[in-house]
Amino acid sequence: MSWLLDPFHYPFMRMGFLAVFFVGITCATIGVYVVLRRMAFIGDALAHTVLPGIVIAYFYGWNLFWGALAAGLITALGIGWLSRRQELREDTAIGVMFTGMFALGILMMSTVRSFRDFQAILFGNVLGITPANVVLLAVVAVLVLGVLFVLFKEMELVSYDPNFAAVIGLKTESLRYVLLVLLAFTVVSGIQAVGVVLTSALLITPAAAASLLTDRLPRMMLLSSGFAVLGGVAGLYISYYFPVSSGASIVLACTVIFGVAYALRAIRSRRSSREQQAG
Amino acid sequence: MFKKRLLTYSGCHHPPPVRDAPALEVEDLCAQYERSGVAALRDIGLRVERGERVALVGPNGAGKSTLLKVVANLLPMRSGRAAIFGHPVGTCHHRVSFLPQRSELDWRFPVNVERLITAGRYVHMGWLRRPASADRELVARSIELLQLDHLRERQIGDLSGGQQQRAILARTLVQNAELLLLDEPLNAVDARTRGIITDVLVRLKEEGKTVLMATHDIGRLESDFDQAVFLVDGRQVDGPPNQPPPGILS
Repeated sequence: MSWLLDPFHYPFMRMGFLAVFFVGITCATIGVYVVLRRMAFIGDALAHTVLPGIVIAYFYGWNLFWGALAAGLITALGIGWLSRRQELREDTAIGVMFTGMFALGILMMSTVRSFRDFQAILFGNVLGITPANVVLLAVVAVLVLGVLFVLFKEMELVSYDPNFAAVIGLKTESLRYVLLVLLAFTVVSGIQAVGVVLTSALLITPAAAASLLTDRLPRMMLLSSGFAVLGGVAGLYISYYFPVSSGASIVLACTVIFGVAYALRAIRSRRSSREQQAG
Repeated sequence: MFKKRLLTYSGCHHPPPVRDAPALEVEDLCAQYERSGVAALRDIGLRVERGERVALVGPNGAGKSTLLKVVANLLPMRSGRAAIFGHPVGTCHHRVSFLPQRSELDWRFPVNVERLITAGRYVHMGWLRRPASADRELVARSIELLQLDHLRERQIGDLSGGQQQRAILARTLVQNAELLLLDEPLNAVDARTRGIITDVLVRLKEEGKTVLMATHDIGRLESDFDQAVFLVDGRQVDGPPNQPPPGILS
């Protein structure tokens, strides 16, 4: 049992566990909408487009979180604006913003002498997270989950029948912007844990695993959060006991959970088709 | 008053109908597709009295769905006027219920039949409110009327086409609106569903509801409707009362 408790003797591990908890539940809950509304590309794009904001914040000595958040919000609103009248398909708008902002980030990074300064941002460093950043992650979690809870019935309706939602007076465009802005907050908090390159995995993989096991939206969100926290904790243990990257371990642990969920789903489908044949 | 104003989706108080105004009045209405700019409706004029059932008849691409969507405030007018109970479209959300074509919903989204139908009550609940017992009672009645009792817990994606059609019609009914805009509710449904929906239309007439319905079914225009409006290529065409002009559906 002592191997389970050992990591908790270290403050950086305690902070890490708290961080993956907050990041996990936030990413996994909004991730359900990302998966169901087929917005996976947006999550990936947002994670990459925060780069110029981070580099600017680094240049001026600001907190990188706020730089990333500013760039994330610009991207989210830019995607919404470019595709608002369907003159451009949403995935095309994302492609334009994604590559443009990422290229700007790389261009700005190339003016810095050492890439190592940005390593934590690119690949995540949850074990180096400060108590102040954990508080920020908690605030983001409360904000995102609070808004999703308050707007639950409206977000649900607009996700599967936007026309009916508009007929009863809901501003479907505004709700889309709300979701994009929440996504920007979520992605920026995810970057603290697993970095720019792997954040979209935290959004998508636990939610995709949950969607294989249940067809109730609230249950899917709870299950997805559970998977993300489980993957985060497992990843931290792996990186504690083996000299491997914490971000990659967390994502791989989530991928294993997805594999198990996929296998369970396959077994369940086979069993039910066998029962149908017998019946 | 302030609380109610704050909680409605439209952000404003639901206005009462203008006295003696028809349920729907459309004058010289023109609309175009936003992306292409191609005219979708030209000079449409229409007056639907309260309690009337009106059929919109025409071939595919005639503009039936577009007209319904303009009245539902889903598509903008380019010119002309449309009023619902004397108010401009988009100000009487609770009085107008819209039945979309089945293909417009994402049926794979994880929602069960009861929850889908409950969405018909949202316009009366507004922000932050959850269904009250009166809402649940209306939902239960609507489920019973459309014979969906045994399917209430089922995921919408697991329903047959006819069951899906009945589920969204139940949602339209549960709104308890006075003007119902129905976009081809009888399209591609089985005989049983057709029978149930036809009974519902008769019941709506008895309850004094106004119905504007897009349909291909010209066989029952005279028995099921008070008036028929014929559309071809976005234009209104005249025909003898309740009889489509020759060749309109060819």
